[in-house]
Amino acid sequence: MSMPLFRILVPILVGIAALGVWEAAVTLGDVPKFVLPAPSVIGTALMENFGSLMSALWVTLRITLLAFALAVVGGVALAILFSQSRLIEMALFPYAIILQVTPVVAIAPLVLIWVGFDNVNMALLILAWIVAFFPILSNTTLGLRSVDHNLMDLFTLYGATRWQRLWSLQLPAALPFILGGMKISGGLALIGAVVAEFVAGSGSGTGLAWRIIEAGNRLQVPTMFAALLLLSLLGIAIFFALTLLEHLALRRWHESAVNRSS
Amino acid sequence: MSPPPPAPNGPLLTLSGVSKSYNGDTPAVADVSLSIERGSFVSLVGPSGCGKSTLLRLIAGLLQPSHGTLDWEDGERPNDLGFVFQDATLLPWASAFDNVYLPLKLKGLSRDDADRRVKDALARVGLADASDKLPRELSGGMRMRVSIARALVTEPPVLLMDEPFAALDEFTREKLDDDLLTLWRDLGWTVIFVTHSVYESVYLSERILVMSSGSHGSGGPGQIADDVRIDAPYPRGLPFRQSSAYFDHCKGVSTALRDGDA
Repeated sequence: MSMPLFRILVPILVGIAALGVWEAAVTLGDVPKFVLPAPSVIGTALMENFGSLMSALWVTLRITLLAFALAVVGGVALAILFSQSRLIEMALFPYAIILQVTPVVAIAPLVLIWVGFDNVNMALLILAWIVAFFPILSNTTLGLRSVDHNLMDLFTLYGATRWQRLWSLQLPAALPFILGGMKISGGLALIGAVVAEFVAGSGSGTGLAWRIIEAGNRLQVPTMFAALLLLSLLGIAIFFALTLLEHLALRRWHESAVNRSS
Repeated sequence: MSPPPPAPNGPLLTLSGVSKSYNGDTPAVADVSLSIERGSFVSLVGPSGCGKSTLLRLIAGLLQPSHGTLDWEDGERPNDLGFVFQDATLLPWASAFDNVYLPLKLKGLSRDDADRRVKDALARVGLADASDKLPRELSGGMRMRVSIARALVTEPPVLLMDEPFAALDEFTREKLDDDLLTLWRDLGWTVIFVTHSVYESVYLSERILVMSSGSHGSGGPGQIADDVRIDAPYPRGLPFRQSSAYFDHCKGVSTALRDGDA
């Protein structure tokens, strides 16, 4: 069997086996479904609530993607600004770090008050953005600074303008760093959106995290599991999409993406 | 008071009492005075840390002297200095064509307008068929050829080379030495060539400036210890490499190097 197929098949078989053991243990042990529902029961709950879970998924997805997009734009833009002026970097970077190290759960109530409880989605967006923003900023800053010094000298020799240097040298050189930051930040945007939804609690919250809280309150544990499953799948989808993007952007020239055996 | 302009038909470049120190420490080069004739092939030879790269960067304008002056024949440094680094220093994401096109692109030439010149430059270094290749698809010697093509595409009057072939194997290096001499004779450049190889400098140059790092090799400031003329005629092929005159010159330069550091 070829190696790639083997690498995909093994975890799938392990997963199926685990589900089988789970199903058998719950059925034979007569475990109540509000403690641990069998996989088949979770599947049924997913089908029964498919419409409402999907609309909740869409709410969470929308906030995650929007926060992620704003984090990419804001993080790259600020990093470019930093690369152009040491003074601005010196002045602002400490605050970016403070924003990053303060737990988002602790900031959330404050943001909710500021934005207003009738505008919860905006608060969710801000909170998810705060979490997703920093990896992009710090990675891009590092990437813009990691340009080969001889290439910088070469651009100086040929009288390149600031803009030419940025566009033709620094940004392409920083691309692997930016994409690496995006991979971290994509997952964090989802975590940020979910955590913010938990903190926001009720109100207009209709995302997956809110569905988990709501189902928990009603002891609908199978529905909780179904929502959890969808969140995991969403996280996996984001990770794979960004990995694919990274591969497509770097496969021709960057050491990290070059296939040695080809 | 500014010094009088150099007389016509004088040397292309005159350095008078040039020193360079970084952060006020021991100077990297101290009190260097020399002149370079137009169209000559001059090598700077010396041990590591003797300031030969610093001197080359001062000439290129990448560094400013702490003391002393550099006077160019035309009053100011030529706009199009070619510079070849020890590594090929190519943009890893750009094809050979785009790497050679870079200096013209930075001067605002469109791809179409630059097309013929870039292709000519690639053809001159024997890479007419490799213009679509990325640097990682080329061998070390071919990458260095792209680097040379990039330096000559602007038709520079002066070519500065900082140990360009040091990282290549002996065979490739000798081939590139010969190709470089052919280009020099065809194009009428002035070449200033930094190397730590006595053999390479004797083979290539009309004139060798032997540098030392002060007394007892103590890492003192770099100075010109000797100025050696190599009067063998060009073209210099294998017969010259195997001649007794070649070995006598090598012996002479080696002795000058040792005396300079004694």
